[in-house]
Amino acid sequence: MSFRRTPWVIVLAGAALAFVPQLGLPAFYDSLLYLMLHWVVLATSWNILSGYSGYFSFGHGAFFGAGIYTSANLMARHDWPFLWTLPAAAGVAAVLGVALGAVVFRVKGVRGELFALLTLAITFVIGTIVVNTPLDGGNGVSLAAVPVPKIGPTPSATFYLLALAAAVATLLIAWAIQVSKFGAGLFAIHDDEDAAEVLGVPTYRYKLVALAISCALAGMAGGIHALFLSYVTAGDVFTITVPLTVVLMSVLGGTRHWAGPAVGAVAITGLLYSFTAADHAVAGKAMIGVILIVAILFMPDGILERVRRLWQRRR
Amino acid sequence: MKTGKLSGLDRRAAVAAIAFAASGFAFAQQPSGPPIRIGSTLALTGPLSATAQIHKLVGEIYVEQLNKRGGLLGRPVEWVVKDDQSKPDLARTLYEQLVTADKVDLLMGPYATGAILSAMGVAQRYNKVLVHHTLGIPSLAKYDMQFPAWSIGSDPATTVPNTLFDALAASPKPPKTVAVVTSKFPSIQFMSAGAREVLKKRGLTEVLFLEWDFGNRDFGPIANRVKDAKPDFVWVGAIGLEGNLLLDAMKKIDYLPPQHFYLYPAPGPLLASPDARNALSATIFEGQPPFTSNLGAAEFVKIYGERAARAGFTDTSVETQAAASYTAWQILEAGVVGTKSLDDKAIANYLKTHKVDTLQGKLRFDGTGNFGDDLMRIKQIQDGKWVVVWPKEVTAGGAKLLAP
Amino acid sequence: MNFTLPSLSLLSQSILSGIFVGALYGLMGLGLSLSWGLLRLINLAHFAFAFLAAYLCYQLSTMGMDPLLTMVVIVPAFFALGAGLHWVMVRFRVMPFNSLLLTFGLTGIAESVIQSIWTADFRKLESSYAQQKFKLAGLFVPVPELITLVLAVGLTFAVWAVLRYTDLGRAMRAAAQDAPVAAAFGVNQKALGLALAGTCAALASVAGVCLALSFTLAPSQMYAWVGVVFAAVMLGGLGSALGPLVAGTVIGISEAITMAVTAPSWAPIVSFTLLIVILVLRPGKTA
Repeated sequence: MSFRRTPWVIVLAGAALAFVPQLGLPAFYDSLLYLMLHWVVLATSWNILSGYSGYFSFGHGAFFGAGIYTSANLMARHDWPFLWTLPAAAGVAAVLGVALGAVVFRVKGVRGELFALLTLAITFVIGTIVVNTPLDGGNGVSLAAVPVPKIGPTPSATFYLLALAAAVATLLIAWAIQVSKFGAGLFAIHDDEDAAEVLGVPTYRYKLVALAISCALAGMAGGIHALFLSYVTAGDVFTITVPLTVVLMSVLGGTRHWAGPAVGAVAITGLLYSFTAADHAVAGKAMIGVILIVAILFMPDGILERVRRLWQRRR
Repeated sequence: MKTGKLSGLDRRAAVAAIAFAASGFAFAQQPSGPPIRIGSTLALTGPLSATAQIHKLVGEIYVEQLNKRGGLLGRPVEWVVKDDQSKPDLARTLYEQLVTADKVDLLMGPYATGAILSAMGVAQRYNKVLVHHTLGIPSLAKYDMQFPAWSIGSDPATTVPNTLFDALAASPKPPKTVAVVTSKFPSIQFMSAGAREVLKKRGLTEVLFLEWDFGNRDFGPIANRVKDAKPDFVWVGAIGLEGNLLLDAMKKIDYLPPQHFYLYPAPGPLLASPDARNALSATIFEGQPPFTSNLGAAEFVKIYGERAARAGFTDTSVETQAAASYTAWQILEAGVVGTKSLDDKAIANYLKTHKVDTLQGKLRFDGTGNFGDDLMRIKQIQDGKWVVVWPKEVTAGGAKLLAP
Repeated sequence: MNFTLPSLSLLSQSILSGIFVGALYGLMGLGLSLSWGLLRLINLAHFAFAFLAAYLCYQLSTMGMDPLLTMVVIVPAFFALGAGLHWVMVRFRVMPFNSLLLTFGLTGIAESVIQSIWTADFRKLESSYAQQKFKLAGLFVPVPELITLVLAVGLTFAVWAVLRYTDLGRAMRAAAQDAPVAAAFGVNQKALGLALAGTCAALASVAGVCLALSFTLAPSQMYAWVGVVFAAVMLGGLGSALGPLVAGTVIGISEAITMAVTAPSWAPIVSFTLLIVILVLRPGKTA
């Protein structure tokens, strides 16, 4: 019975956090929290495919980037209002993912590392296309003239609230999948795909759906981020940084649980921010490395698992 | 009877009195009171850190000198700088922290176009004046209260190539055919596109046009194509190390272009390369006359040279990056001193209506996007040193553009 | 995209250039592939090792040592480092994806160390090799690149031969395929693992020396190689000795040809689309 409470907990937590901008804290905190929630969406959406099914994707950056550029172009070149570009961004990313998946999942041998390579290659392919066509053309896309809708008291608050909504949605979806038959099927694929097929799991369909959902959420996060950055360049977006970071966050937090990546996202973002004072800049980087190493040595199944086990031991 | 001249005793007394007054004056020069905090970010780590470290050093030198001179408005100045790790989204968030949480009095710009545009958005939201030193795309600077220290003018894609081709036309062997090879990096690409327009208008022939992906490692094929095209002159739209990589690749196939120009090379490496002989580039400042007679120039060149050597930099000379950075601080100081306040709007108005005396000479900010004149000069590597060769009025000792 | 028909010499010189850079991808990928395939550890710190070795080579060379001779000092040092790292991983029973996190942490630490010792400035090793080149059949062959190619090919074949023909190699492959069974046959897994890890790190350090000979160094440059080397490793097949070299060469040549006939900025698309096509059409048969 306990797991039916979870969606309510998520929604209520989200509703409570929605009041943060009203607390009158300096706008900086809204932006910092925006970044944390932004990574929560990215890491959790990655995990829906890669963590649950084991199809390790190195291409999250491609779908995130597709979302960014869809939004940016619609706003800058076609004067679409910001909020309407978000579903478009999610849609384009999902279509891209499904197109890739439709071809790739049909091929029997593509598992594990091959899928990772394919998704990595897609990132560079899309990045090169974007840079060489009017989508970016090399000059970047400037969104300085696009108005930020007044959802919150300040623009930073607006981004925070949008990311909060996206994060709540993403977490709910991740939870819902985990406890459903669909999720069970994905975990079965993770553990042994051939056996799962024999048992009747529609592996092809399930993988495609998971990929579509994962890409759509990443695309939406991209759409929001485009306006946050207000100047988008291909060189910053289509790199290995985003995929690597989401992997790290998910692994650190724990990949078999819907909340794991979120924990990792908050932890790593917080860590990155604690070391921005100039005097410790270079040493700070080393410290982050040390902390990550210690964390993974002592919490090999992820932070969440460790915390849960401690919790259970207390009872 | 004293005839209007001071006797020995009186003279000594007078000297003593003056000395006493001077020391008292020196005491009065010590800044006092709550510090004025100026906040900014810099790419202290990450891919942009190689150049950002120059800006960090310049800022430190400037603030030290400023405090020795009595600070601003009699108060000591403190520079709050954070590391944006070469990421524009981090830069944006940190600027927001500086303004809303740390509540600094004034802002200074970060390093490089992407971060500056992010910071500009924040400055605009909170109505803070933003003086910046490395914005490469003037057309994107749409905020009313931003001011550039890098004097490339509002249309550098046209003006800089024109200056370059003027210099080449006045040289002993003006080129007729041009190869344009460029990186697709945002602040480079539009400049190279402008160069292509300009050379066509001037009746030169473009024999090759190539663009490469920023991050490209293999310059072999590109070098081969340049060699094949046999141009008189190569415009290399390069940033950072790309110019060196291309030169290395060309050297490996035994080819050196007759005349070559590099847009924004990393300061040190090009000088150090033995194949960069006679290479041209553009600059707003070099540590040589007549630049060294501008405000603060001579002293800064000396101090920077010492401090850069102590910090282990490979290149200890002051050129565009360091000069633009120093100028930015000079502009900010002028605004504060001119309005005797820290009010952003007042400072912005002052800067728009007055000329500011800086390392680059007298600057104005009344053009499009608050840009003034294009002060980019052409320099050339001669005997392992950068020598300014054009326009004539800023050359020293009869320096001229050397042609092959 | 417009295409220009290049002269034969341009095309062949470009292809040669592609072979050289592909050899470096292969050399950098060799250790990574072995470690990932045989030890089941994704070692991001491989790049940190390579760059640390590159900087050490630079440092020793500026102090007077011949760059190639620095390998005498550097390679054993990194063998020890690699074995040490592996010992830690085994001690804490670190699993594949966790190793990614751990080695990412190490890479960050290495970057900080490099930056604090050598500053973020660009460092270029000016060696006597850099100036030398000779002509072979009308093509220019620069010496540093040739050294890289020779080392890449030599080490690749050496590793391949060891894995295939020696008892040591067979034991390593057996341990990777089925550890309990291998142990039953007397294979000392622990020692083998340490030796293999040390070898991978040593290979990375050789790649680092080649990097120092041909490229300019900066601390954050490490990350620029991760994407393409991972691609070469995965395309070549994990644990394969010949794989990274072949795959790296394919990537290098396809990019070079693209740059020779059309706009260079399209080069990544050709190599990576080729990758995708190969993988989709023949996933089992890679390299």
